[in-house]
Amino acid sequence: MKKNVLSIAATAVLLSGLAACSSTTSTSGSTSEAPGPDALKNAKGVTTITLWHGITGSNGDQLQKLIDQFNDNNKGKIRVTSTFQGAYADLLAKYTASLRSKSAPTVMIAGDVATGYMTDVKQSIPAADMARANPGDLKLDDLVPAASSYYAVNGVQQAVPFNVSTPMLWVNRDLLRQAGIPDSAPLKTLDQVVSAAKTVYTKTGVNGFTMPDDDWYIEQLTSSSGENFCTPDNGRKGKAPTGIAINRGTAKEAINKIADLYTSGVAVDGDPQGNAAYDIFVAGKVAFDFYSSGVNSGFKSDAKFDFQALPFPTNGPKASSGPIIGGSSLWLSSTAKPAAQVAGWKLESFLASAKSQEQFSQATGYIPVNKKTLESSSEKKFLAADKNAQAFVDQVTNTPAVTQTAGCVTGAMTTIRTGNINQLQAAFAGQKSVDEALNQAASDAKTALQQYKSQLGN
Amino acid sequence: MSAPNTSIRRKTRAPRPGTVVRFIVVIAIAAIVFLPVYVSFLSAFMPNGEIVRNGIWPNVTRFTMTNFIKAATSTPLPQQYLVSIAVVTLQTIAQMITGALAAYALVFPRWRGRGMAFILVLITLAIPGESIVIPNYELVSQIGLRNTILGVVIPYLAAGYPIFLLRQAFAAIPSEIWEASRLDGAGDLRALFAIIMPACRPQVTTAIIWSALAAWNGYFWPLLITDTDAARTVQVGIAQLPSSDATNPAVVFAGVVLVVIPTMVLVIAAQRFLVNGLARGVLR
Repeated sequence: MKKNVLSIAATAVLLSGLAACSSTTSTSGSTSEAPGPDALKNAKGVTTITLWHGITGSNGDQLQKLIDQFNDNNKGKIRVTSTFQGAYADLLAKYTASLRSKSAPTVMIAGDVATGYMTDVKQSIPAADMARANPGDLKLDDLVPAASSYYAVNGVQQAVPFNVSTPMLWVNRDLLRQAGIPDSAPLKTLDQVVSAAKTVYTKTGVNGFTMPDDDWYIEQLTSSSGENFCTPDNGRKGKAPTGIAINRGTAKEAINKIADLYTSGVAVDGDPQGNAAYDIFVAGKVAFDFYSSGVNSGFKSDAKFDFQALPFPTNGPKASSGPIIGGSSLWLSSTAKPAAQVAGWKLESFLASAKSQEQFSQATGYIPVNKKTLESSSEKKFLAADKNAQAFVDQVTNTPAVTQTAGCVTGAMTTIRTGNINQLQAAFAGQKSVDEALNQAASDAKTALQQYKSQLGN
Repeated sequence: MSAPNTSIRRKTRAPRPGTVVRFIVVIAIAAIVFLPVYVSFLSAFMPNGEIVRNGIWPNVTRFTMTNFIKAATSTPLPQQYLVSIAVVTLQTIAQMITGALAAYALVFPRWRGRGMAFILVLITLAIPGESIVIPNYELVSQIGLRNTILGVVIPYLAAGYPIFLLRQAFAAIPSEIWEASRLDGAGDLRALFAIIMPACRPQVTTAIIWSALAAWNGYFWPLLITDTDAARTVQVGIAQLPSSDATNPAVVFAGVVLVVIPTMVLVIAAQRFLVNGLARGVLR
């Protein structure tokens, strides 16, 4: 997309400039002391802080509700102004520009994939440091492990997860019944799902499978096969990743199984933004759809048939396979004044608190990041009434917390994703063989990772 | 006025086969080009999945305006429309004035370095927008114009392309016209705005269309330089509609329709003007 190219290019241009800055300044949180509650207590008047985010649509309205509540609770002491600054890539480009002109926001809600970038530019105080210095606020142990491990790099918690989504296998139960597949039929493994999709197609003529052409689902197929998407160790254990693993082992197997569905006509093409996959599913023209848990309320109002969200199918050993979370997290600026930093930490604690997460998740369809939310009786009632919402929570709770499911951390993720999806679309359309496409994607990713490394000045 | 009963019957000739073929080809191409626009417009008026369910012929009973209401209320759209109109007006007028003045200087008066200056203007066309967005941001921030309409238009008060278009147009005018006007006692400005510009109406119209469209479609720069919803253009406002996690395709289409309609109106209106100007220019 033209807009994305512009902002990715702008970010790249800036990154080379920042590389010099970040390696010479020593204001990163790991060397200086994180401020404690006294910094805010001793501050005179109202401490104003800024929050930038890329949360669109009605979810953005729900975030604003939380911000308004926080402002009410802290009247006279803290005031938060929150601004939408463009979705994902634009948000990062704007953030990078603001770093140069020293007008970075106090708190930044950055998307999941930005984790590598945000860590590498060293402009944020790690959440672990703030939690240690402010024992009265958020306790990191309260966070759901699958969510916190995504935002921990080298064992140090960098950011606080705010909204968490998980990929699901959405099933049109009516279509399956028409094809003679009973509700009790197992659909836990990729093989079972693929064969069911083929059955629906041959028995009813309706397409069996679709998904948005988003590399996120390729990453899920990889992690659900027990493989690290990027090697070594998804970049989580100290060494920056040097390549991706989609063209070998069980990951390649899984991708091949899906590509097979496309080239044989069982699957119908989604589109990169997910609009086509969404419309096709709600129109009842496909049996299985990979999609984020976030579409729950959309499907509820638009799909007029019996549907269900099932856990993402696995293709590997249970102990090391599972899906990767999506969503975004809260990053605290290391260049803001100490009073603003503590105020920002209080905001983050509020947004990740059990009550806020309950309110936010119920209204949006994201999954609560705070373990304590699940203990509340109103949340239990809500989950009992919405089978799919319960399925989301179960999937996130039951995901093993291993490097495979922690997802790949590198600032080159956006480039890798674009490269991958271009190759895979060609493979799904039959323009090149899947092997060719995967090898090309892996080699493009290798180049992208090398370029990112050199931009950082390592 | 009684119609004379003379049998001057219009001879209806059968259309030539060449014309028929041309019509069919043009209509086929137009249909292909127009199909995505049609689907987008239709989807905006329908609930999600309707076109997949029932094909591209609309089921009139399913028409709904809820998508437009949702799109229009997700951001302060009326305010943003006004901002967009202000940006378009300021940018277009400024680019026309600076473009006309520059083109005039590059064509009529002879001066040393005239050719070099034109080359420098052409070089700016080769500079990618991405590389100058950040320096512009820093400069405009330092001046203190962040989050203002002026801040949005300032880097674009002059542009290389209109200068190029107008320069080419002015160069094509026979120099006698300019010399005659000067002999009549017109100063440079009068010659430019009273004689030269009207003689190049099609090219001026093209330049206006280009400037206006570029200003209306600007997204990244207005996003970068503004911080509050109320100061933003409609393109930035509409960008808040799509969401990867909780998408509502029909609302996104509605937003697209709201943003595209003014540009369609502009192009359709300007085209008439364009064609008129062309015809007038030929029949001199």
